[in-house]
Amino acid sequence: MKQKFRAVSLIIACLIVLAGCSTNNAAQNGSQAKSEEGKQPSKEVTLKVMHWYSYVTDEIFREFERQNPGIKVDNQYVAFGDPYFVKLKGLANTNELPDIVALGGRTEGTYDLIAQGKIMDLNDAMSTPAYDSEETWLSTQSDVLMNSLNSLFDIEMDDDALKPKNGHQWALPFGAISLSVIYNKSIFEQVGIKEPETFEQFLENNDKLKEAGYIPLAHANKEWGSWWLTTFLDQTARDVKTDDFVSGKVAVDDVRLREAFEIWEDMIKRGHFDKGVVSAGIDDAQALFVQQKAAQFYIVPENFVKYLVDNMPEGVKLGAFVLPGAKGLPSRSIGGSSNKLAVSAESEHPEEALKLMKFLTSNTLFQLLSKDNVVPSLKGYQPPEGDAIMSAYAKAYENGFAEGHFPPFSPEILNIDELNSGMLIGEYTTDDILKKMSEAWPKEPNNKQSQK
Amino acid sequence: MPVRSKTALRMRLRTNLIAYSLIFPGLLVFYLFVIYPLLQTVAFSLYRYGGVGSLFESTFVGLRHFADAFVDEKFGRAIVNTFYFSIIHTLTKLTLAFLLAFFLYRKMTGWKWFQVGLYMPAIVPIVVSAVIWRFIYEGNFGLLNYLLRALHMERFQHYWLSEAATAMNAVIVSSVWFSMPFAMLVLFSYMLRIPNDLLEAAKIDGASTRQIVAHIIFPLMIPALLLMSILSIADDFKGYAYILLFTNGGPVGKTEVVGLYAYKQAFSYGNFGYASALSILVLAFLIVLSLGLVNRMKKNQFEF
Amino acid sequence: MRILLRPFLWLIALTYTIFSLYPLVNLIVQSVKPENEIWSQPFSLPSRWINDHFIRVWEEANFSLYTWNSVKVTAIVLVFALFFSTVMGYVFARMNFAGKKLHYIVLIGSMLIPSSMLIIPVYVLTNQLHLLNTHLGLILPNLAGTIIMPFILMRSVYEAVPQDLIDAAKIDGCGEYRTLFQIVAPLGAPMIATNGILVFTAIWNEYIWTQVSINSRELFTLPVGMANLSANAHNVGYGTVYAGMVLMTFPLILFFLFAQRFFISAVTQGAVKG
Repeated sequence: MKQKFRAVSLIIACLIVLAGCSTNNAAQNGSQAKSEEGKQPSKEVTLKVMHWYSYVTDEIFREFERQNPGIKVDNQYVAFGDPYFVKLKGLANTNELPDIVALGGRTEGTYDLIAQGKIMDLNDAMSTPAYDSEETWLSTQSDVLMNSLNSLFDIEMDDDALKPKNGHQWALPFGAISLSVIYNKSIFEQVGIKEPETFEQFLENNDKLKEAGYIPLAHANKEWGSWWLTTFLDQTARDVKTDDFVSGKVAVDDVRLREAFEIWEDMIKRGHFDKGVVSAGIDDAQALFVQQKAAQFYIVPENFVKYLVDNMPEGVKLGAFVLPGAKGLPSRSIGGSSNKLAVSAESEHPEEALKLMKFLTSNTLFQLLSKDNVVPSLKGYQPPEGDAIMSAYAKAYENGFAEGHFPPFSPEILNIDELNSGMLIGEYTTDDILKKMSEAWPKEPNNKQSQK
Repeated sequence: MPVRSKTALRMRLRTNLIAYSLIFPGLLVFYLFVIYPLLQTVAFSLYRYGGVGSLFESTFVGLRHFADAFVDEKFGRAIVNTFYFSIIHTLTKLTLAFLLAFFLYRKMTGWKWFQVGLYMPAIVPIVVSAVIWRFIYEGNFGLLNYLLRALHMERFQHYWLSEAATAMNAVIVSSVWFSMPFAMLVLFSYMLRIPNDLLEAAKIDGASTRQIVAHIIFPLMIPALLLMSILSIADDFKGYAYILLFTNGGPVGKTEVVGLYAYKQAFSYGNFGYASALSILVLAFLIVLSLGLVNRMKKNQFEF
Repeated sequence: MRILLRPFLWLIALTYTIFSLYPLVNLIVQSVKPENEIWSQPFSLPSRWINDHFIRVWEEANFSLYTWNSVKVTAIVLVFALFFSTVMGYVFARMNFAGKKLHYIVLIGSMLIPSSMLIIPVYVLTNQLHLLNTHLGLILPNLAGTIIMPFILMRSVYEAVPQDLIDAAKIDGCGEYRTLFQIVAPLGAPMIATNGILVFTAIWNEYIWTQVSINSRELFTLPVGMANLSANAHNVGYGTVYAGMVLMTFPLILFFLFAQRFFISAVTQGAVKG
């Protein structure tokens, strides 16, 4: 018995020492780094970048370090999800915000961060040269994306003095979400259809696919649910701006919004989506596509397309086309302004941080990312030579980016993904949706008018 | 009444000292890292707080969150969902756990292997379970529908996770799958403490297995079963991780349970204060529930 | 009746075991398949078995380091959690001391709050203690969180220990401490083993707090490494992700087999005589 006791206490003692060691190590490394920086007057600077973009790898930062000796980058990639934003808020609260961060929307604390002065105003820096050209930084960025980002900030921020329209630039868009439809060429051949050039053809194709026993469209509703609706809204309500709802110029149940919902409802009724689509995630949609049960997939490039191309069964070819505009207008991609980067106002090395920020929004960077099929948030985009799929994406890009055409509802008041899913399972009709929207709009905090 | 003599007092002091010396470190860690943050959560529920910056700089709303919770129809719906989920989940889980614990207890052939195999679902990380079960339930190529087709029961096929009627039940089945093993182990541990003499005596008296189970084992297990019921219900009201990964609230909120709703309020909508208030309401309810059940448990304490 | 009960139970156990094992088996099978078959034939056996995914995840994705970190953190929390919960369980069950009821209610009540609500306060506290981005900052909050459930279970086990046993030990000259360690602790062995399994599993799989509080890659544990890998699945391949999940599950199974010993000895010894 005594032996057991001794053995147990020995083990416990060892573990305590181990625990102490690791804490010591971390603390020492921390204080070592700090004292090193203090000791050496040389400009060895370490910048921290926190983001969720898996394609922004260590290699890319090594390239930056090569081009900028004296600056080291600590790449803190954190998988996207709620822990990312908890961490962001936590770091902000303890004044340890990394030099560059990827930001979310209102509910992820973006405007709180700005209001508390934790984000650097880039307005003045925008007129300085870009990273790799003599033009101003501002002029290299995509106008549409910048406008989209800034107008959203204008609408959602509380403090008038801090709004972009009053001369502030808080964040820059990073990458663009460009969509197009990938399709299985073998299935198309078999059913005897071709790439559609009008929206009616697109719908007819889907009907034929359905008759032939295929699922016309695979759709990852869990992650990308409302993309179709947003695309249709860009067609039917192209000249409606988010601001118009707030100023009362356009009612939330305007006929143009109604039209978009009706197009969506029509597609659902005609069975263009799998019956189980409402619970489908990227995994499910991919599996359907690879198993050749689904013929088309409306998707972003990035690594998704490459992955699909690599993993289709032998001999199956994939093609891509730009989704024809539902109302005949040039089809635009959904904007990338939901991906945004910002610089911390409390950065210890603001100059270097700015340089890194410029790098991350530069042509150089997006060229490095082109093998991952990331569409840049810059003016003008050249897809790799001979890449048919990326050319489709480039065309979608050419037409410009869709801006917001939906009333700025906060997610707890009215969630467009929920409306979308409700329609998918046939629970809501278009009338229901518009009714819900009109009833919810007066309660919406972003609806500044009703609060006057 | 305690005897007020000096020796009695000294004895009490000594007992207190011994007790505290033993529990002090545990209590310290617990109070520091659980209770102290908990108190802050209570403070959150009185403010409109988004998680950034100091709490006291945000707007104070007092008990407004609690009032809002009562008229929040999504919260009401979540509570109904959770009740349904919890009752069926707990009953199914404990029934199976009891049967299987008994199986292990009787040392039936190969019980050691069974114990390992039966415990596997609890070991698998939640992410993995969610992925696998989603594929099993998938409407087009999923395993469940595939089996139904193979057994010529095609008409029973469903889009399990997408239909209002089947979604919650699908969630319950997979939840039982990974929560049953632990209950089984606990009940098994309890069963091991039943003195052999009681069973020997009963067998000598000629009792059949069924009678032994019904009149000796089951009554002795009632405290354990009640305890596991409380823990299971508490977990059902707290839990969100699995459902978040699995259905994320299901087709339009059909599988949204209270834990998930509070989580979404906090992390997806940024209403930390409101989410804290919801959690406190659920906490109050659960305290009442468990006090009620604990009282019943006390009455059923059996001495060996 | 006896004749019917045995096979019936056996059948239930067998069916349920297959039902339990299947998803895990499926995961293992998926992790040795060539990448394209993962999607085209999710439920079939692979056409050929490959171990590329495992090699990739172990070397390229740093899983060897993460595994070591996980083992370290989990082992430390495990030892202390079991120790504290057992001791506290006994003290609360069999001793009377000032404030016992209060502490007990607080302990039980705290179990009913979802841990997600506590993340932000714990973050601020951990920062004040300068424990962010350290393993100690992982150990302490996790320890606090995993004491409660085992404590409740141990306490109810010890409540049912017959008083005569303890009295007999006292008569033999044991002080309170000795009574606890040498007589009562072994009685709770199966429950301690159960708690051990519970704690080990909980800490091993703990993701949210680790992801939020740890910034340096050298300190990552398996769940965080897993999540980051998962989010990158389209680059590294789902096969790699699944292989990682299998590697993550494996030590848990080993631990279970180790803890099972206590069950086996308890079963073969027979229960305490009344």
